[in-house]
This record gives sequence, structure tokens and C-alpha cells, in this order.
Amino acid sequence: MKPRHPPRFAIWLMEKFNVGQALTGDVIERYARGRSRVWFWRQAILAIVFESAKDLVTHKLLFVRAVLVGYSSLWALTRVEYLVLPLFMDVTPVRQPFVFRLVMIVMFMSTGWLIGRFHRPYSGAMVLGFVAFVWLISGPQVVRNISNLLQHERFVPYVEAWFTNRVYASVFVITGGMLSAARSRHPASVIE
Amino acid sequence: MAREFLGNFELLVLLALVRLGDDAYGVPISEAIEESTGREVALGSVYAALERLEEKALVESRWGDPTPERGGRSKRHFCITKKGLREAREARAGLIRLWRGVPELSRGLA
Repeated sequence: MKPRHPPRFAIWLMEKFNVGQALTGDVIERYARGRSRVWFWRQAILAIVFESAKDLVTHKLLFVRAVLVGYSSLWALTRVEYLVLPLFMDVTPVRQPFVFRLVMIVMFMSTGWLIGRFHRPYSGAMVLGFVAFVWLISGPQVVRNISNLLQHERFVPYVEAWFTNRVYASVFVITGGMLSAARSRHPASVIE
Repeated sequence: MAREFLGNFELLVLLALVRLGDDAYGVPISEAIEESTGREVALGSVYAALERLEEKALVESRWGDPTPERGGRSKRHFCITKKGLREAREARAGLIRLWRGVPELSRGLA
């Protein structure tokens, strides 16, 4: 029988989010005994959520700092985008859609990278915490969007664009954070 | 300091540890819980409960050797402490006293 290889990307994510080697090993062991890939991914995502929640609860002050770093970075990068960039080129969503999107991607990834860089070894948890915080304080806007949608379909494109931008922003912030995260803080040979 | 109550899931993990003995680690613990409850368990939640129990000094852990079938990752073995056993017994006694107060539930009427 061919050996079953667990999803590598899921394992990489678990390492980046500091999921302990014992837990990762247990998920791999159960997968090797016949569990599905869907099961593996579900376990990996839940492990990341549990581990991040634990880190956020244990390091509340770091989390506050991560939120401050995130907002400061977004504020500073927005200033660069609106004040410095126009000196060199006319970057607007209409005239330069590709460059505009590229600037936005760099902005969000840089924010995630900065949060991750300043909060090692809890980079993953702090970046996820920042994204969750931004979604949480967007709650009233989400409710407004949904109630608008229910009132009239002319709001569909606006709400669609709003959600798409938010989801993209979240993904790029998390990706930036992943790039700056150190390898797992749980060394591979922690044997007592 | 006031004594903390054991959560429902923490009690399940503790009882699985009692049943499995000293060689328990994440996989058999999660399988024992799934077997007894009939529900799938997230291994992450098992570890979260085990770490809470370890903080309360109800369980102890030690690292095993890395094995190839686990991608070179070590097992973390858990065992229940004397305090943990006492806590499990007290939880059992408390639950029995509570169940005695609701006889219609045990007769299956509610």
C-alpha cells in the first residue's frame, strides 16, 4: 500500500501558526490511519484557531500592541499612497487599476508583515487577532450592508465590492504575517 | 483561592486519561472520547483542555521520541496526578448527588 502524504500546505500553516509538534504529529498519525484530507484540513484549521486564541488570551498586551501596529501601519501606508505616490504617477482605481491593486496588495501585506515581525514568536496569532478585530469592529457596517441588501437590490454591487475588498485585505494581511513569522517556536526535538 | 469547577470536556479528558493509564497521548485520548460520546473531537480542543488541566496540576506530561509515521514529531504523553484523581472522584460524587435530586431524568421521563 502506498504511504499517504498529509497535505503539506496544511502542515506548513500549522507550523507558521505555532501549533505544537505533538498536536501536529497526532493529526498526521490519525490521517495515516485512514482519515480523509477534509478531516485533516478541518483539524489543522481548528488547531490553528485554538492555538491562536490561547496565545491571544495569554498575551493580551501584545495583542493590543498588534492592533496599534496594524492600524498605524495602515494609516502610514495610506498617507504614502495618497500623498507620495501621486507625485510620481497618477494612481487611481480607474486610470491605473493594475497598479492601484498592486499598491493595495503591498500595503496590506506590509501591514501583516510588520505585525508579524514585531510580535515573534506569536506572529500568526497576532495577525489573525488583528484581522478578527477589524472584522469585529466592522460589525455595524456588515449589519448596515445586509439591511441595505434586503431593502433594495441596487446595493448588490456596492456590498459585493465591500465584502470582496475586505476578504482580499484579510487574506493579504495574513499572508504578509505568514511571511514574517519565524518557524515554529516548538523545537522539533523537545525531548525531556 | 476558590476551587475551580472542572468543565464538562475537561472531565471527559480526565476520565479518558484514567482509562488509558500512563501511556496516553493525543490520539488515544481523542479516540476514547469519540468512542464514548459518539462525536468527532478536534485534537486542538483536546490539547487546549490538557494544557488547562496541566496548569491546574491535575495532569502531568512528558515528551516521547520522534517517530517517522508522525513526520518526525514527538508524542506528548500525559498522565493524571493524585490531585487529578481526587478531583475526578469529587466531580463524580457531586454529579451522583445531583442526579439523585432528579429521579425523573433517570427514569427517562424528561
